[in-house]
Amino acid sequence: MSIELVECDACGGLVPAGARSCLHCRRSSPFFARVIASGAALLTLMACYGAPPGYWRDHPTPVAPEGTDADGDGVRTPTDCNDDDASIYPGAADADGDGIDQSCDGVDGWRDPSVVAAPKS
Amino acid sequence: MTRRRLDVIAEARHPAYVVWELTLRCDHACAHCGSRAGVARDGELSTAEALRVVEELAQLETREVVLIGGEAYLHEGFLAIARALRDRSIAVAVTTGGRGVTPALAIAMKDAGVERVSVSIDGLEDAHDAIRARRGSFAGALAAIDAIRGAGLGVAANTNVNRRNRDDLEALYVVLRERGVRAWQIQLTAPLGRAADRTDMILQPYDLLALVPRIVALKARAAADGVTIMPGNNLGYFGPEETTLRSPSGGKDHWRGCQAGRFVMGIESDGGVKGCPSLQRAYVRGSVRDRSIAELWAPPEKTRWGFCATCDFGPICDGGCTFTAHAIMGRPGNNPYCHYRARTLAARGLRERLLPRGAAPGEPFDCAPFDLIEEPLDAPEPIVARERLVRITRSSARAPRALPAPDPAARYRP
Repeated sequence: MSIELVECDACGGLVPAGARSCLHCRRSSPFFARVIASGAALLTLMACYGAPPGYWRDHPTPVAPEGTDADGDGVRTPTDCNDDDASIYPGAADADGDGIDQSCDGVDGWRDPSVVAAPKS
Repeated sequence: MTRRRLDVIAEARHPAYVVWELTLRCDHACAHCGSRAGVARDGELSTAEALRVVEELAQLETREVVLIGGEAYLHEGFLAIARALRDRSIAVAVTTGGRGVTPALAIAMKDAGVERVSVSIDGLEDAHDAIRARRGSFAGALAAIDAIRGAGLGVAANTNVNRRNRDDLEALYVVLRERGVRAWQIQLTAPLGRAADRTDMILQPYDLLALVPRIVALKARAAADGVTIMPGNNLGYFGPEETTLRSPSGGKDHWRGCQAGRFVMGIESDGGVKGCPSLQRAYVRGSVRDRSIAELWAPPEKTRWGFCATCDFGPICDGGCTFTAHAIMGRPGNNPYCHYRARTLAARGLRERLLPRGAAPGEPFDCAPFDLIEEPLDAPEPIVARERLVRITRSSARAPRALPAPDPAARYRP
């Protein structure tokens, strides 16, 4: 069973059609105007989890305020140390000895973070 | 239009939106956790079993799956499951406390097909760390937001509101906005699981008189900033601001009753299927190991009673959130957490107060018994120490110690 709702022109609150006065602001029935029609049949499914909806409609492309992702590797500058090459980003496989720092860790090849480089003499 | 926005009258019943607890293992042991997460359930689904569930969901035309826990990333098959969902054209989102979400894990999630991640933030640092029972948790959550954004994933936040953090909302909004969060979900902490052990934390029904208008005002302010605030299912119902509260932005949406078992489904980590992820264990109709999801998934049975039986909005509201009403009243269909109800009573000079009269058993999604006291609206406020997050007496109630922080960089190195 369901009921039809109308909107109170005075306060904007929803009221079951046929109510003699607004259940919110107590104004009388002549002020009820708009029937809540088809648009209100749309419901945004929610549980207490997950990102709220509206995000994709209002923000179809998540954009960080800084940086770009010109190479489309999913990492923006300045986190991405090379925005022209999709094979280069933090965490990328970094072949040792090719002279290229694909993983953006400052060295060619994998750097053991527990090892602190000795200063050059 | 979002995948979760659908015409509930025109569309046939199907599990469009699924919240899937991959594991109950967690790296937090939050004071308000409804599932009492910390250690894994007995007999959690393996990766191979979970991948079979993905196939069933695809057949049932699921649109979106939110992976939760515990912490979903502590399930060994987390990325494989996300990837399988993506490969079946099911949108994948993750909800997390963020403690283990490093840049490496965020990148791995993006690569696996996760579209967006919601980070749970329950107040400013003081309240958040107290509720989450860990110093540094707030800073970790913010770092997770940075990592998620850095990986190019959509990032959102979600907040449980209770008496410990309700004063933080406006300031927290500014923190989230400045951090780049563009979507924020707010729900009430229901006395479920560990929150049922800490009833000082729980909002009283009359607290909604001030809280709901504040959230509505915050939502309007956020909209002007380009930030979407949405209420969780247990926040409402049918106050004068209903359409503002319930519509993503503008619009005339309103609450249409609990969608558990109609368009929403919850899956527990041991394969239990229920209509909504937060429903009590009594609503689990069986396991995916034994029967098909189509056989197990159904709306919870409920009959309106008490105030809700004669409420003007009852036929369309149907007693609000099922699990929340059950958590307070022992069965659904009569929900004191209702703005219209609080306003109606206040107009008569009355209010309702929840008075705990016992302890919860100590199981996931369990409840404590409450008496519902009707008293004058201006009755003296019970004195409660603000910092108290102490459990009420239950000899067996012992929150599991939080696990040490995982090392996602090791597990998820590309």
